[in-house]
Amino acid sequence: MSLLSIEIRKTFRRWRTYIGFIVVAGAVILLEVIIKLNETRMAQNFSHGLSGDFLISGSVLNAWVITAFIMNSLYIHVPFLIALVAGDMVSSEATSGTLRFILIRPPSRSNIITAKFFAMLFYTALLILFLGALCVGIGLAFFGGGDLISFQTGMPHIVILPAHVAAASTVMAFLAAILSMSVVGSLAFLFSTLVDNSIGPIIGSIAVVILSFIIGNLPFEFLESLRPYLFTTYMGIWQLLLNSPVDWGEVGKYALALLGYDAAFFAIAYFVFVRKDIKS
Amino acid sequence: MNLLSLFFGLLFLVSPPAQNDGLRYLENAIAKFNGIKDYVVDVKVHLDLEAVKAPDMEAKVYFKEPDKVKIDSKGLFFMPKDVGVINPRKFDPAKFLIQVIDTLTYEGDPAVRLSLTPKKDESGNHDIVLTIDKKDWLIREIGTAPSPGRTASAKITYGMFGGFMMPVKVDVKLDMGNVNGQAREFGGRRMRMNEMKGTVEVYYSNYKINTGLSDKIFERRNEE
Repeated sequence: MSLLSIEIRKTFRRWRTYIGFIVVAGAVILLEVIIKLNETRMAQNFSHGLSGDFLISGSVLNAWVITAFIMNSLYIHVPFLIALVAGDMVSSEATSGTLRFILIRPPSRSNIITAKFFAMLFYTALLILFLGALCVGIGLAFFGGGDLISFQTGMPHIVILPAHVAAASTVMAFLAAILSMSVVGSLAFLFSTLVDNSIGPIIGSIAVVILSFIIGNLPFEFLESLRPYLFTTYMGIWQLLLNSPVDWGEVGKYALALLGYDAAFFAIAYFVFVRKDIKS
Repeated sequence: MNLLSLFFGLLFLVSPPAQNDGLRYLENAIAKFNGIKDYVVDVKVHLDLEAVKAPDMEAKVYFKEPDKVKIDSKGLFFMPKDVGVINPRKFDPAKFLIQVIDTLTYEGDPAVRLSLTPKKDESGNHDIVLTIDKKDWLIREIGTAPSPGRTASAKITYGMFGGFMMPVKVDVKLDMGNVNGQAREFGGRRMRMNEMKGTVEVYYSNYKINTGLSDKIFERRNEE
C-alpha cells in the first residue's frame, strides 16, 4: 500500500474529516429547501430592481444560479472546514504521540510529509467536488437548469451565460475553487507542522485568511501595493470562469499565484518537518 | 355680443386648440391598431448595456387586447417594459393631457411630436413623448422619462403583416445617467444607474395576428 493511500485512509478514519461533509450537506440541503419553499418570492426579489424597467421571463432561479450563489461561501465557511482537517494533518500525530513512531519506520521524512500534503489536497478536492455535486444535483432536482447569472466585481456586473455553457462553466469554476481552497489547506498544513496541537493551526490559518481579506478589501490607497502579495486576492479565481468571455490570461495569472503559494507553504512545511526535533 | 365674447371668439379662431389636435393625432395612431385583437410574435433581443452582458435572447410574445401580454422563453429573457411591446392602446387619451410639441419631417414624411402627461399622478405613470408619422399614422418614436434624469427612447421600424403595419425592429436607447446615488438591484448586486446605459435592439418576426388567442394563455403571470 502506498504511503499516500495510507495517509488518505488515516485522514478518513478521523471523525473530524466528516464534519466538513456533514456541514456542507446540511447547509446546501437547508439552503436549497428554503429557496424552494420561497421560490416565487425569491425570484421576484432577485429581479426586483429591474422589473420596474424590464419585462422579465424565464427561470431566474435555477440550479446554476443557486450553485454560483452558494459558491460564495467558499470565501469564509469552506476555508474553516478545510483548515479543520489540514491543520490536523501533522499536529494530530504529535499530539497523539504517533509522530515518533512513524518517523522511525523506513519511509523518509520527506516522503511522509509529501504524502500527508497530497492527502490534504485529496480531502480538499473531495470536499469541493462534494459541495459542487450536491449544489448542482439538488438544484437540478428542485429548480431545473437554465441560464447562469453570474455577478462580477468589474464591468459588466451581471453576466448571463446561456444554459448550454452553464454546466461546463460551473465545472471549471469548481475545479478552480479546488486550487483556491488548496492554498488555505496548505497554510493550515504548514501551521500544523509548527505546533503540537490542532487548535492553533486551525484558528491561525483562518485568522490569516480573514486578516488577508480585510486588508485586501479596505479602501485605502496605501494598501493597494499590498494586494498583489495577498493570496486572498487570487482566491476568487472561480468567478473569472463564470465570465464571458473568460479572460484566460487573468485565470492563468491567478492560477500561477495560487500554485506559487501552495508550493511556498509546502516548501516551508517540508523544511520544518524534515528538521523537526522529535527526541525532545 | 359684448367685447369680451368677441375677444374669446377671435382667440378661438386664430389659435388652434393644441389639445384637440394632439388628441386627434393620437386617436389616429391608436385607430391604426384597432383591428388587432391579438397576436403572437417571435422576439429576439440584443442587449448592449454597460452593466449587463447577455447573449441574444429569444422569446415568443403573446398579446391580446386591451393590454394582456405573455412572454414564453426557454432561457432568461428581458426587454424594456415601456417600449418592448408596442401597444398604442396603452396611450389611452382619457388618461393623458396631450400637447403638440412640434411638427417635423420624419424620414421624408410629415410627423408630429406629442407630449403625453398622465392626468393621475400614479406610481408608474410618467411623461411620454410620441413621434407620430402623419402619413401612415404610425408611432415612429417613443420617449419616456420614468424619473428625472432617466430616459428611455425607442425608434420603431414597421413592416406589413396580415394587412397591419407591425414593428419589425425597435431600437431602444437607455440612459439612466445623471442620477446621483440611485442604484438598481439584481440578485442582490447593486448597480449604479449610470451603468444601466446602452442600447437594446428588439427584433420581431413571424407575426400571427387575430388567431383568437385564449385568455388561458395569459392566466399564468410572467415571472418578474
